[in-house]
Amino acid sequence: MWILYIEQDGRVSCRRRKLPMLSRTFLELIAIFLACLCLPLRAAPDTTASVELRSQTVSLPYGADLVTLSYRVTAGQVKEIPLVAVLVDTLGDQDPENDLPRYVWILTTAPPSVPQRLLSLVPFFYFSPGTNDHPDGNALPPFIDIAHLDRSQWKRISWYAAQSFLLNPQPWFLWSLPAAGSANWYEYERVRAATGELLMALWKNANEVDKPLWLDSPEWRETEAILFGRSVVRGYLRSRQLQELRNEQLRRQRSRLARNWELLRQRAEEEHLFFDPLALPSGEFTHALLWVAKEDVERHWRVRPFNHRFLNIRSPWRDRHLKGWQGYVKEVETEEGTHHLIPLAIYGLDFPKIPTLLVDFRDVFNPKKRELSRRIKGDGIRYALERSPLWNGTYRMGTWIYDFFTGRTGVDYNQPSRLSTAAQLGVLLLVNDQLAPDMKVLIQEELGRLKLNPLTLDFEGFPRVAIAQHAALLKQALQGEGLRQRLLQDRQRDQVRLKHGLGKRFLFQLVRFASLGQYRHREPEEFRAAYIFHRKWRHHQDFLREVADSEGPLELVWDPQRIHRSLQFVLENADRLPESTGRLAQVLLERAQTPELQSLAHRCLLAFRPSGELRASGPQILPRPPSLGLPGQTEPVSLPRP
Amino acid sequence: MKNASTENVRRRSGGLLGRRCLFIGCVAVSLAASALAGSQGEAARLPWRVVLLKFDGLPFHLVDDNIDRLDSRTARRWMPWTRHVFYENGVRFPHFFTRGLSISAPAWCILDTGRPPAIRFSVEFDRATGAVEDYLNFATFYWDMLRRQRIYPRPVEVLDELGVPLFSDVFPAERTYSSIQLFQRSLRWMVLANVARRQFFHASPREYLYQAAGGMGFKNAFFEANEREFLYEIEHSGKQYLDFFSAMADKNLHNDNGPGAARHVVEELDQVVGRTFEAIQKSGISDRTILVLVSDHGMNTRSDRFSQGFNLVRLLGLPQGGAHHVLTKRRTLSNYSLKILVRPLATSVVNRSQAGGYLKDKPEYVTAMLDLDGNERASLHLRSSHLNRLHLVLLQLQKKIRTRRSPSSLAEELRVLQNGLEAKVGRQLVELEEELGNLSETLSSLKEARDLTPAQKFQRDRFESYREAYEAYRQALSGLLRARPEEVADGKVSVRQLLPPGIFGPSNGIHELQEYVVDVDMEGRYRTLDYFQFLAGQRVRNTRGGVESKPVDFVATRVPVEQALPALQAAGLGADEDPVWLYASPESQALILAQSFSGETRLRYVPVAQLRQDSSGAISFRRIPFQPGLPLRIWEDPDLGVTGRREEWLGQFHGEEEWRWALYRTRYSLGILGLYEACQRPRTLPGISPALARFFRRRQLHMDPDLQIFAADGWNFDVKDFNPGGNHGGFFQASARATLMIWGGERTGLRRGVSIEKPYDSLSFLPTLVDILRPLDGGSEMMRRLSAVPWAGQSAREVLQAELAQAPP
Repeated sequence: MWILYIEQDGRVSCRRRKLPMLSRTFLELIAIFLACLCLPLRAAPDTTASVELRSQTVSLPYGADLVTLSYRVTAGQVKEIPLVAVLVDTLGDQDPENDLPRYVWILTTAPPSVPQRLLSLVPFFYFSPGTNDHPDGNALPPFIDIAHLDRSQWKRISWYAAQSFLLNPQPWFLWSLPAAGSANWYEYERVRAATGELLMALWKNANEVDKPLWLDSPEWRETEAILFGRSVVRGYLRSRQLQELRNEQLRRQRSRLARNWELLRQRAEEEHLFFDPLALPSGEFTHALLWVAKEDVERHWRVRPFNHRFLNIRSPWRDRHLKGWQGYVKEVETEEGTHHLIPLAIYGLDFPKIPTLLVDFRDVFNPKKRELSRRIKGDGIRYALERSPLWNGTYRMGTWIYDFFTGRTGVDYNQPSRLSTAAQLGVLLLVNDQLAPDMKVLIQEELGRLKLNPLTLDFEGFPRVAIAQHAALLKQALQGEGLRQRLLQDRQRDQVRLKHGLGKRFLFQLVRFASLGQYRHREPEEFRAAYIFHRKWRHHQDFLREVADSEGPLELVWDPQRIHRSLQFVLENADRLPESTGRLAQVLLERAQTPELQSLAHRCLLAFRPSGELRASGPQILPRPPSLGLPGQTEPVSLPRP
Repeated sequence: MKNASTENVRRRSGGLLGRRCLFIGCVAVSLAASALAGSQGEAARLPWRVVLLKFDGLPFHLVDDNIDRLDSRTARRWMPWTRHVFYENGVRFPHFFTRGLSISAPAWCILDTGRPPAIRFSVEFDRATGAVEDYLNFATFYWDMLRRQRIYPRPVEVLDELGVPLFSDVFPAERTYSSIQLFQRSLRWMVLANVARRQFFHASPREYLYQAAGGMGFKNAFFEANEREFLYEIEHSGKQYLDFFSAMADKNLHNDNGPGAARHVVEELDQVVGRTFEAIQKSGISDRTILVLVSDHGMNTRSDRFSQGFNLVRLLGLPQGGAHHVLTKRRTLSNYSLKILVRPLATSVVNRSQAGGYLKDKPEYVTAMLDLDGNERASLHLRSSHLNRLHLVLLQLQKKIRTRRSPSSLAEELRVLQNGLEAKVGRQLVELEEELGNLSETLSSLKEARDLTPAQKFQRDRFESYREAYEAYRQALSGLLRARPEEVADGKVSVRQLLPPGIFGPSNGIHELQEYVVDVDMEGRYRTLDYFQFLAGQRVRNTRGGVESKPVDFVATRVPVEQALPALQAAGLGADEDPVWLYASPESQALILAQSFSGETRLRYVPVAQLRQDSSGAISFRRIPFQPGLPLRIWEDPDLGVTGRREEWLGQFHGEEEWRWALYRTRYSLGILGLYEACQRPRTLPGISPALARFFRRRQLHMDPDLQIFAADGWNFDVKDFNPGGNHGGFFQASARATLMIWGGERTGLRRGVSIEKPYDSLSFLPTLVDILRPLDGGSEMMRRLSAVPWAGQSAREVLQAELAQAPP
């Protein structure tokens, strides 16, 4: 049994305690008895549940904070489930400007077990043996390691190249297993990314008013844009382009959710069903339930036609099972009177073109066969016919035409994988307070049938896995050496990159390779101060670059106090800043309109170019602003002659 | 061995060639420079310049709510330029409303002409011929352009036919720059070429990757190419009138109600304002330039709820809706349709009813035409109920519909119906014949003329098509009036010949709409439908976000004054023009009455109930006291700005200005004025020749819908796609409140940092602009022409500094 302890010094620790056999048996009997008492004959909606998202911070002794987002459900008893944890490298000080997010753990997803990994190598294996929800207590690898983000996707590209050119010519057994494994692994990563994206969005929304600086740091924004961008080429783009794409992606996602919401609502209305959207705590609707009223089934039995387009379920008006329904029912009051609603299906709204069917309460194979349709087609071509999906022109043309028609008409076969939106439903079930607990259990059971990837996890195991993983993580963070060493190594890596160029770094890697990993270059302790300073500087640098990249007079577009603060930092630390900062100062000087900012920018420029000369700034990207007659403006500041 | 002399010759010739090239190059450069200098020199000679930024669907509340917003991370302003140019140094109109319906075509028509809208809806249907006028369709315009079948977009063609000039027509063509928009006279092929270049040719490999990752889409590339050309013209050309049109706000806000979309719209808008302003400063004549930011209407969008759709097309196609085959301009669910690929440029789509009915297998017999533009309202044309009865009788006579009625009773009924039709259209057909004769004469003279401009040639072709279509209509109705029952029963003449598809016949009156014939039963009894009750009584089970379950707020139609007058007089009321009847429920209705007092039209809002019209045309209604829940909900609106007792004030006639002051803060804004404007009979067309005036007025009358249906707040009638974002078309504050802001250089005399609190509508736009430009102008011919226009709207002279505002116009 795992028990969380809060020590006298305030630390949280997790210990395993073994109970005597008699005590265990007694407790189990009591648990069974209580469980029987709690089983309702008919589910009553729990209207007293409330969900609260909280973030908690645990300070680690090596200059980092472990921040955990968890949700607390108050439904009779309080239950707190951690969702995602972030290690923020604070350097042990109280200055938020030098904080850097390092690692992110998605606590609801467990690392696959060995049986899962082995089974994932088998083509056409569309089942999952179950979740590894008993982690061995060792450090689980972070989902995101910002310092080691595969920005340029070299790993993936290299693996694909190796698969295509080295393995594919080999006998079937040798190339198909790795191919299946990498495809399943890639899908597993995407599901985790979708879950992570949703959780981070929840976090941001929960902290809208008092958002920590690290959530807006350039590293984090860039990581989000690359990781959640779903495009291989994003790693090669500039920061500004990434942000534009990310913003566009979020707008499209929002539009997609809204359109599918409305599509499903209208279809439900046309078919005389009940539409019940499910919201995250942020108010965003990501999934929806469809219900049918028992009274309507009686009234329209075998009379009313049913158009299943976009709904993809069979007619409720001819389903005998519904006519004599004895299962879960929800009672609602409307203008028409009281209705007893039977759940029909659940749909994911964050899906291209149409809401995707995730759960069909009357036909468990329905969502599965739709999900399988694309897989079987692709796997059949690949493993049975041994044709490469990428390089085979006929296949690609045929797929394109087929995809075009199915996408155009809204057919739910051969659609992109719905496992990501299913995983998001798993998260929503945790944090949503509209659904009754037994309804959630029912949904989780049904959702579990969508486990087509051997690496995916049981949705009903989310809380269990999350608690276990969080406990292991805490233990590892507080007591273990692994995380500490990793952090220190990453700091060292940053310092090496800061101090040395590409050539020297390559040399260090070469030496390390030659020494079989024994030699690892470390910067002296004296460099630490410079590194800490650099961490603070990058916060201001990111801001000043953004200011320089913008258009228009500074005081018009930006808050002058904010610019003032960053320029003041530059002025006070000019001797420690790189030469390129002078160019930034020059750009800002050219665009400043008020004497205060002009003077400050000029002083900054002088700090880098004592002669005061203004160098040509290259092609004029920014338009020169006109004089706008702003208050307090005098003649432009003229630079002193050398 | 080289010949030295040859070598020398070669060197000399090579040197001579080089010198020639150099000379030609210098000439070319100097010509270009002088052209540039010349154009800039021309700009310097301009007495004034006007630059318009036209943003379709930009609601004022979106600008105003975000003008001071800062980014939470960087403290960067969302709208620094708009704030600086218009809020701190310009004039803004927080209460600038669309006049009439808040939809694009009529709204831009008012803004671009300064007159009451000659084009009254964004889509118009001709009841006589079944023709569809889609004024918002750019694709067909450019396609027709390529095929040399048109040179102006359809809205401009219609204005030319009706003799209504655009404001930009006052300027010589070489001094005008208009970007791609609804009302344009110029083509911008270079913009399209630049779009292609921008999409496919990039400066660096990273740009290609950016595009591959989903970078700038076609729409953004189009927007940017458009803007670049516009900015270049401001800076480098001698154009006196320049305008830039963007539908970016409308497109984004329709699809997305989220805060991200709102921010994106205002930031993009602000950047355009900033770049335009900087270009003006560089042009050299900023001191006498006016910069205007104007939108045609607002957008009813809220971030806390999705707009919910109600499918009128489907409703009308159901048995209980009349089993109509419905004509719309766009295909239902066009994003999920394959048929659209076959006819991508289709301007009309028949939505076939799947319900049983007498026209079940005859989709060519469209019996309803629906305009849904804006989505917050709809205009409905129904085929004449009288024609429906005739059709049913003819089908029964030919035994295509089996009922228990005898041939003699059917023959008798046919005669009665023919007499009824004769009474409705007999005189009109005679007049139409005369009008077509005039049109033929005009056509003959156009055909004989030798020096026609391309525009005149196209106009001649259009007149020919009108003549043919209306002649067919006249002959069809005449044939129908002359048809003999025995000929029909014997099959000597087909029903299709007598009643061709596409002819809707005369408009339906209130009686026809309250007892609209949709089918016949076995006994020969007609099944009828009361469309007012049917539409306003719709209820929806699945609603969210506080949206009420009643999607139709109210239905409006015009009542011919000659029919309404006896009942009005009996109730102690009077009217000089057609009243507008608003129907929300049997017990919740209202009349908007118009009377003329010393040349001024005054309106009154009268609550009524149970208004009906019988078969003789007599109207009856019951007056009821003011109470909550009436159409437009004026009575209970806390922001109704009246002095004294509400009931007393509302019980009287008031002029436009009084109504504006009373209503401008209410939930339905200037709804009373808008409904009066939208439901009026077409006005006299001053610019058209008398010979053709009657014909075009008739054509406009044929385009009057039977009903106008207004959606409740949070509802929309979009069928083309799902529309969870915002909508417009109705009179809600957010829909009708447009944006107007003006900045002027030092010599323009415009006030700075001022908010005009007086409510205005879009008719005031051009008179205000003219009054601003007049003091700058040296009495040019152009200004004399502008000053002579009898502008219908009131000029907002308070935008000028005191001494200029007080100077006589």
